[in-house]
Amino acid sequence: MRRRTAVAFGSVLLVGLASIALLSSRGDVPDGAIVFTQVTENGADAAWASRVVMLDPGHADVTPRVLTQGFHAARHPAVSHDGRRFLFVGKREPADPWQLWEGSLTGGRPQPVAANVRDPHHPAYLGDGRIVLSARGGDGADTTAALFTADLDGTSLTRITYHPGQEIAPVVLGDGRVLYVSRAGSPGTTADRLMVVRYDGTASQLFYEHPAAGRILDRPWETGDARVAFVEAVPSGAAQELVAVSQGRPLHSRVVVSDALDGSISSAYPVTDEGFLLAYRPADGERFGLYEFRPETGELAALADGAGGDVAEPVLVTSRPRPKVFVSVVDRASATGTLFCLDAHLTDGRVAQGPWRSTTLQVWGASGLLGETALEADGSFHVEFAANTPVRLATVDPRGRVVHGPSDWIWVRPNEKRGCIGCHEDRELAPSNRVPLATEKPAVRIPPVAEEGGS
Amino acid sequence: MRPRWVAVILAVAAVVILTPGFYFSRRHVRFMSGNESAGLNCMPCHLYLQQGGLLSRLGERDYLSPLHLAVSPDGTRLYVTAEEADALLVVDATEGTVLRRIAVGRQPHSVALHPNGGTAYVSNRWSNSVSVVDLASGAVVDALNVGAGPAGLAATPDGASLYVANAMSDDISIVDLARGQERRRLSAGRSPQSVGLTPDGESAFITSRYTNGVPHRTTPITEVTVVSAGTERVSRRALLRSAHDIEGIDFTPAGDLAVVTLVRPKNLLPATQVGRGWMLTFGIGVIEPGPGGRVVQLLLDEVNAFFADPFDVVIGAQGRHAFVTHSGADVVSVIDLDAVRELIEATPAERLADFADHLGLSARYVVTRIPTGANPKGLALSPDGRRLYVAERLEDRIAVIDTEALEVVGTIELGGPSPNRIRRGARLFHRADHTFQGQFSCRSCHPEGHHDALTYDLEPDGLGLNVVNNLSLRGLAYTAPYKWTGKNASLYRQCGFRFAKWLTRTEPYTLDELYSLVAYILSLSHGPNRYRPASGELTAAQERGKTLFERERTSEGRPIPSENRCITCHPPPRFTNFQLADVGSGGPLDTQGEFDTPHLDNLYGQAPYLHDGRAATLEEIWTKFGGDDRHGVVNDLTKAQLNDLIEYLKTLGGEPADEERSGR
Repeated sequence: MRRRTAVAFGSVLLVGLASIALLSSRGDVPDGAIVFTQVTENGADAAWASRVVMLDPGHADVTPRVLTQGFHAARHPAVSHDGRRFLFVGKREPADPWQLWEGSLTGGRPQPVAANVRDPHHPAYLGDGRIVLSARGGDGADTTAALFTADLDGTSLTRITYHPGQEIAPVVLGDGRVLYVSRAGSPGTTADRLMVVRYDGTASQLFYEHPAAGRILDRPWETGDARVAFVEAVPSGAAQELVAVSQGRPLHSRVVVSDALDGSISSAYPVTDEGFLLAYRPADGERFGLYEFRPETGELAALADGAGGDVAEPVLVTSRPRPKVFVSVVDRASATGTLFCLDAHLTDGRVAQGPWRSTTLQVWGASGLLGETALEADGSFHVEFAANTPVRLATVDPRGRVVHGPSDWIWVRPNEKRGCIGCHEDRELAPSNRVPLATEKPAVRIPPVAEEGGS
Repeated sequence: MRPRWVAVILAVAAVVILTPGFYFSRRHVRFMSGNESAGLNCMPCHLYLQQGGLLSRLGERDYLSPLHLAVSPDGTRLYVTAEEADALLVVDATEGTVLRRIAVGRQPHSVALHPNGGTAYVSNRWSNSVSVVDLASGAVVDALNVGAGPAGLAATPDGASLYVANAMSDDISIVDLARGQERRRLSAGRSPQSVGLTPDGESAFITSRYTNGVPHRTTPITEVTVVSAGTERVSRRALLRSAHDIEGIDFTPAGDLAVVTLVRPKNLLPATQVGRGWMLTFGIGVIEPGPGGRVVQLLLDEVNAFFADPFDVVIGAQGRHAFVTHSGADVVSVIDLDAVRELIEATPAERLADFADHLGLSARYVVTRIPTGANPKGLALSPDGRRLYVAERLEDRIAVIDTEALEVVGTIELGGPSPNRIRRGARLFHRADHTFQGQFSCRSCHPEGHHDALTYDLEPDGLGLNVVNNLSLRGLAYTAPYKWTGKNASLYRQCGFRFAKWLTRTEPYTLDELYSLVAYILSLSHGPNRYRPASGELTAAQERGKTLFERERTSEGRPIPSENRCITCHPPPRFTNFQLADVGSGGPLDTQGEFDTPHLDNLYGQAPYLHDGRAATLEEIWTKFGGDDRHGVVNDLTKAQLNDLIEYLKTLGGEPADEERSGR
């Protein structure tokens, strides 16, 4: 009896272990598979408007497997670092709101994530297992889009950017920061810009912008050779180009890598140091198909045509190094953050001299002037203002004439102590090493502290 | 009673007894590590990481740690200083094998060859000597007396003289090689490191690690000392503003430029961010050797990537490329010197200084980065200039780079053992990839585990407040608590979660990494104390100083309160009572008056002093800042007595100095 029990127990154990092994294996996710979006031209009238599919290039003759079966619309896929799961936004019925979902590339029904997000776009996995996404930033008629982070179970939804424009299309860089597109929110500019921010919303800064007004069409992606590639139209409305910039100096290294192509590109994803997956429509074509493109040779190979719907947003399924994580300095108990500047006279690499030098810093909010403070003798200032609130800075001379500014919208997160080198300074400058006079005193508090609430 | 019941009773008793113990242990681990999620693991601290403990001794291994190297005139032999093996290794460059291991002095640093190729000179930092090695026989035939802590050295082209940079006595020895005696001693910058001779042999350039004396919380200025070979006097002191840790130096074959490696610290800024070079940047100095020649600093970093701890530089035979090891980034940068010349010539003089902080320029002159093994240090070129040899210090290996293809074409294993925990910790300590974008390594602020002689304004306690003096990491074992505030009960806590939050601003070390890192830090020692006689007998002045250190009454016979006696707060053997104390050293920017009582181990080599580095010398602790007699009663002392006290303080800690010059 005992022996029979032991055998039965052993069998159950073996079956269990085998099941675990099977479940934890890569299953039927082929290495080098490609996930992308198909978009139909019939829109809401069709059985589906868009869907996320997976193609095994080793079996290109096989119809791509639909990963979002049962959804009326699905888009913006992002694959996890282990190459086993994917995020997307979708809706099961045409009238449903867009919602965030996570699915397994090995099969199974996608599960909803962060159901309380309004108009989610472009989710991406952070290195710490959470996600970052773009979603509507405000209430009611407010159409601004901001970046948020959330746990995968949908909890801890936290807004991390506060620019009043459109903050969209985030991806996570290997160093842990979030790279995203900032659109049409900056005063006096319609250009898209690439911004980078730590995923707690601190240290937001410009990564790339084209001097002419450009439009960035889809997510930017980090390549394997320390560049960032994206599709850009310069000026907005012109033909799209596949562009790469070096992370070493992203503001001054723009290279068009799609000169050999005369069709239209809607999305690109780097697959090797030299190659890209493209959602591309040849000049004489009608639909966007999936292609592999090698800029060095100009070689363009079709992987899937657009017969099943226009191809968009290709992503390679592969396991990649997990992005770095970090310990946040944000303290939610704090209502303010501080900003110090080393020398407000420093602009474009030179220090302004003479009677036109500014003497005062003004801090402007959405509803007007919030406050001002005198610049120190060395041009430094140190101000404290409400966190999670966009402000603009300007320097003025003794007669109240603006010397520099107003700046683009900036913000600080609770307890963030942000530093800058100058005003409109050369963005490739490291700071000079001297004690700023303003930091030897407490920060000047700029009222009202809580003019606008954060989220 | 049946056995089953006995077992049940024992189990219940164990739970009752052990639960409080378990609870206490968990609290203890969390307190010591500062990590709420740390698991309960007693082993690292109490068993195998315990300094001097049985298991840590069992795990000790004899590593080589190649630091610098030289190539024989015919290119067939490499001569490699093995820092941790106290040896000079003779390597067959063709076969890639170690032919001979020659015992020299302690902690050999550099090797220079006599122009005839028959003799090697090896500087021994911990022996204060230069070993003279007959390369034919492999015998050490002499040991030259030089200053303290000899590091870089160079033999003149005529073979008559040897220049030696004495890192611990801040001077330069010029040795008459025919007589085997030091002929002259010249003052250098602080902690001179390397010697470079102009191609015509008419001048020697000596780099320095630490800033010259500058007022407290002002920009560091570090010196490259130029010595005229003709007069054997200092002809120039080239001052590199806002730079320090100037290590390697080399000249173009034409002699029109010298290139040095350097670090540009941002210690005067509040340390609120790391990106875009807000903590440190790394680069080169380009020096025109002639009188009044320009000194231009250029960064080797990029906007989003940093290349920490440049250490050595070699210029190719054609003068086209300079090669720089980044010991914290594990790469060799290749620099196009023609592009550097073009850049300098095309720029108005008043704008050249702007280059020093420009992160975008490196794209114009850095040709490529060649990956290497862990901790690349010294460089040497083959005589034909086609091979570049790189000492991969923490790999016990030499990498061979093809200078045309600009890639590693081979490696030479020197025969070191596999990495143990301390060695893994050493790699973590020296690699910058545990800081955001590779901004700095532990070594960046603690070269050789020591200090950088700078003060910092760290973020957590407020901007501009609580400036702290960066202390040496040597001799830290059993001196907890750490930090000037005494907040950290252990090094695990010091290097853990908060360190990642406020300093490195990227991923914290894993627990296993933390154990390795701490094991390495605890292994660091000062080496011999050059003020401490081997005999153990103090000099007369030191004896008088000891009496003052231990005295209980003033010169006038008044009793000194216990809390104002030196010995009370600084008792042996660690010369700290491990307590916080308010000795009146707090300044207007301090938010507290009590500070951790520091140990006094090898105090003489750790200027500046006090918690915020206000005292440039030991004397200043009392002559400028000890007016109220709270930091020991000293105001009754004469200058001679204060000198005696300081002479005694210098003897504290460390091993006794060698009785005789070793290395022979």
